[in-house]
Parts: sequence; C-alpha cells; structure tokens
Amino acid sequence: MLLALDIQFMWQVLPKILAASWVTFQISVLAVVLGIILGLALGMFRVLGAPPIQTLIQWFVDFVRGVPPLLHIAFIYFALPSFHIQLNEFWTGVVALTIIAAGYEIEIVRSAIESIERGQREAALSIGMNERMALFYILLPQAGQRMIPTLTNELANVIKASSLLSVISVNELTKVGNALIFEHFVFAEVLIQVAVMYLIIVSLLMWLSSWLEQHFSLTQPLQNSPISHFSEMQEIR
Amino acid sequence: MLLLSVQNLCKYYGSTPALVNINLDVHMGEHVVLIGSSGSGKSTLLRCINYLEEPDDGRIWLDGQYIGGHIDQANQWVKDQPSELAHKRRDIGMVFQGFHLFAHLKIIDNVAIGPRRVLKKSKATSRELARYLLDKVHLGKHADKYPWQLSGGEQQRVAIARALAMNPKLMLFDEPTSALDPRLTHEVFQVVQELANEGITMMIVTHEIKFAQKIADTIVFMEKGEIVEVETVQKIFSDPQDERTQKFLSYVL
Ligand SMILES: Nc1ncnc2c1ncn2[C@@H]1O[C@H](COP(=O)(O)OP(=O)(O)OP(=O)(O)O)[C@@H](O)[C@H]1O
Ligand SMILES: [Mg+2]
Repeated sequence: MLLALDIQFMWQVLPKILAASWVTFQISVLAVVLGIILGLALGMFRVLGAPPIQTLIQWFVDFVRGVPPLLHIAFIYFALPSFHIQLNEFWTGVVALTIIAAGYEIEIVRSAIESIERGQREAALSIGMNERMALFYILLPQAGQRMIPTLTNELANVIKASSLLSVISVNELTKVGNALIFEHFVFAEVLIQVAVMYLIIVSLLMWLSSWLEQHFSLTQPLQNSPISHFSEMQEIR
Repeated sequence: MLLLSVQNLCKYYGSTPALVNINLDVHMGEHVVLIGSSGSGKSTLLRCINYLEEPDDGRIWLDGQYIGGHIDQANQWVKDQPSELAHKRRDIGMVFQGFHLFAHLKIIDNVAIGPRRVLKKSKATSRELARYLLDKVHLGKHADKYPWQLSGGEQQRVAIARALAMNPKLMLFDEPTSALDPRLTHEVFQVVQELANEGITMMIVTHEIKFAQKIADTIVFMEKGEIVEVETVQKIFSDPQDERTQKFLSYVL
C-alpha cells in the first residue's frame, strides 16, 4: 500500500497543502489567543460579577457547549452580515472559533479558580482584601498554574474544529485537501498529507504547552501546595 | 475599655439556628476563650464577627463603629459596601484551623502582601515589617521558603504573623492547633501566649482546656448556638454555675 503511493503527486501538491496548513495554523493561533483573553475576562466575571452577569455568562457557556461547532460557524457566517458586520471568510472563521474556544475556557477558568481551597480566599478577605484583590493576587496566579494542562487539550480541539471552516470556504487544510481529492481523484496521498500536517500543528502546540507546564505548573507533590518556577517569579512587587 | 460588643446576634443555616441571640462584650486587652462541644456555634460566632458569614440579625460593634454596616442620619441601618467592609476587616485578624497560607507566595510575602497590597506600603517597608513579625513568631530563617516546605506548626505561626501584619485591634483564633499533632501544638500556643502577654485582645476557640486555663481571662461556654455561661477563668473551673457547663467540664477536665 505504502509503496503504491504516488510520491511525485504528493510532492506536486505539497505547496498547496503547506499554504493551507499555514491558514489553519494562523486561524488556530488567533482563535486560541483571542479565546484565552476573552475566556479569562469572562471567566473572571463568571466568578466575581454581579449575579445577573454570572447568569448571562453561564447561558453563553451552555449555548456554546450545547450547540455543535458547525452550527456556530454557519450562524456567525450568515448572521454577521445582518448586523452589518462584513468580515471575510478568514476572519469569520477566527470569530467563530474564538467564541467556541472562549466558551470552553470560561469553564476552565472557573473550575481552576474554584479548585483553590476556599480558605485562601477567606484568608485574603480577613486581611482586608476585597474580592478583586483576592482574585488577582491570590486566586488567579494559582489558577493559572492549574489551567495549563486543561487549556492545552482545549487548544488541540480548536485546531481540529478549524477543519469545520471548510463549510464557509475558508481555504484551510481540510477544504484544500477535499478540493485536491475531487480534482484528481487521489485519496490516500492527500489524506495522509493532511493528517500529517494536523499532527505537526497539534504537536507543535503540545510541545509548547508541555514546556509551559514544566516551567509554570505544579511540580510539587503536596496537594494545594504548589511550588514551581512560576511561583518563584511570583514575589510581590 | 470596651473593644467589641456583640449584640443580639442570630445566624441560621436554612432553618437550623447556628447562633441564637448572642450578646458578648470584650474589653481591650482581654483574652476570651470560647469552649463548647462540636456544632455549638463557636466558629460561626468568630466568622460572624468579621462578617465572613453575614449574620441574620444583630450587630457587631468594634471600637466605635459597626462591622458590616452603619447607622445613617435618619437612624437607619445601612449595609456596608464591599469596600467599606474590607476596610473594617483590617481591624480584625483571623487565624484559621487550616492555616490557609497563600501557596504561591514565599513565607515573607505571605506576611508582606497585606501591608503591600491592602495598606499600599512600599515593598521595602512591607518586607521589613514582615521580617520583624517572622522573627517575632520565631520563623525569621524560613522567610524565603514556601508554605509547603514548613511544618504545620510553622505554617500556623506564619498565619499568625500574616494577621498581625495588619496591626489588628482584635485577633480571632479558630482552633489554631486542631490540625496539628500534639508535638507541634505547643509551639503555636507559645506564640499565642507571647502575644497575649503583649496585651493583644483575642478571642480563641480551642478544645485544649489546659491552654484555655492558662491564657484566658474570660471563658465563654456555648451550647446549641447559645452562650450558656460567661465567667472569669478562676470562677468557671472552680465553681461553674450552669448545669450544662458543669457537665461539659466534667467531660473535658
Ligand atoms: N456553612 C454551613 N452550612 C450549613 N450549616 C452550617 C454551616 N456552618 C456551620 N453550620 C452548622 O451550624 C452549627 C454551628 O457550627 P459551628 O461550625 O459554628 O460549630 P463549632 O462550635 O465551631 O463546632 P466545632 O467544634 O466542630 O468546630 C452546626 O450545627 C453546623 O452544622
Ligand atoms: Mg469550629
């Protein structure tokens, strides 16, 4: 089977595959970064905001998690113009994936914050901190450490979800792969290349995050007692 | 001079009463020990005093102002804004059974963070104060370690220093040694005793009757959310008035 692969054909379409990989990579990284920013911000309001705001954000989370990603993408693609927002396919894709990523990250942020023992929050309040200070100086720095492994998982999901953008004609990896298949009626060669590219992108990310994990996360055996390179940077300024 | 006045305090969890009409005065420099069986409301009382739990009824008065609210010109009770409450909490230090040190901060910064972030002192000043207080709880040489590197007794002494860093008018201790093995309780009690000798006003919940006898001016005995008896330490152990107090003391002594 392997020997039967048309290597010359693979070589010939490689530039197209690489270009499409680059699009997938860009969209994923943008969505991941914007998603983390949005997710962190909304995650904090989810924990700290006024009750109606908390409820609204929870609805958003439930909506994002309860509806298939494909519907989000289609919805944003068709709905944006009616709000007079004109975005090309690329940015529509970024917006859709950002919203999906944020929806999951809000939950990650919330559960990471809530995993810090309640007592530390109370201790912070007892020395006269308000909720905001307790969040920024005590809870978030520790939640940050705990979030990294879960976030990594989430980011891999975002990359994979980017394949759905083929439905709105973004020239990302899956779309280009499909196009090549139907153009040349060559399956194995194209699919193998597409799969390898996804693997490379996800691995790059995994490598980055395991580096982050090593340098920023819990390497300490005792529970609730994290110590790490990260915390060494955490002296008060 | 009166420092703390708990007035008609009531607290319910659902329909179960945890505190029933509590009245208690604490004077400056007084050392009050709260005793009573499990579930009698001792922790709830301490936690209501600094409003970590919001009372359902009654007032907490501390040195000229109410905690959790104030009375306006029209003689109406107005709840404190969160920032006002946070400000008032500076006056009340609290030491928890479970230490609750900030796990990501060095020992010195656990103590310095209050002065630095809440009192907005300079970093140098905050750390200088922290060093002074760590020396005071005999932990000067551990300043640059992390909480998990310390024994429970040492962690609890850091927690005491952290509370002292806000220069509170009143210190609350909720079973400060219950999570420690007996070998380590001594070193914590030693520090508490030293603070008591300096005249710091404190309320202590403990099951260690020997320590209570030693440190207390006043013993408060609670049962089922009520204060049964408030007595001087000499009187209550030699001549308890209430039957329930007699029974409790006969168990623990
Ligand atoms: N958060 C809570 N939710 C519901 N009930 C509570 C809560 N905290 C305390 N209680 C109840 O209130 C009552 C008083 O509890 P509290 O913790 O004040 O007792 P305690 O005297 O400190 O006991 P212990 O010696 O075991 O610490 C108990 O019946 C307890 O079950
Ligand atoms: Mg208790």
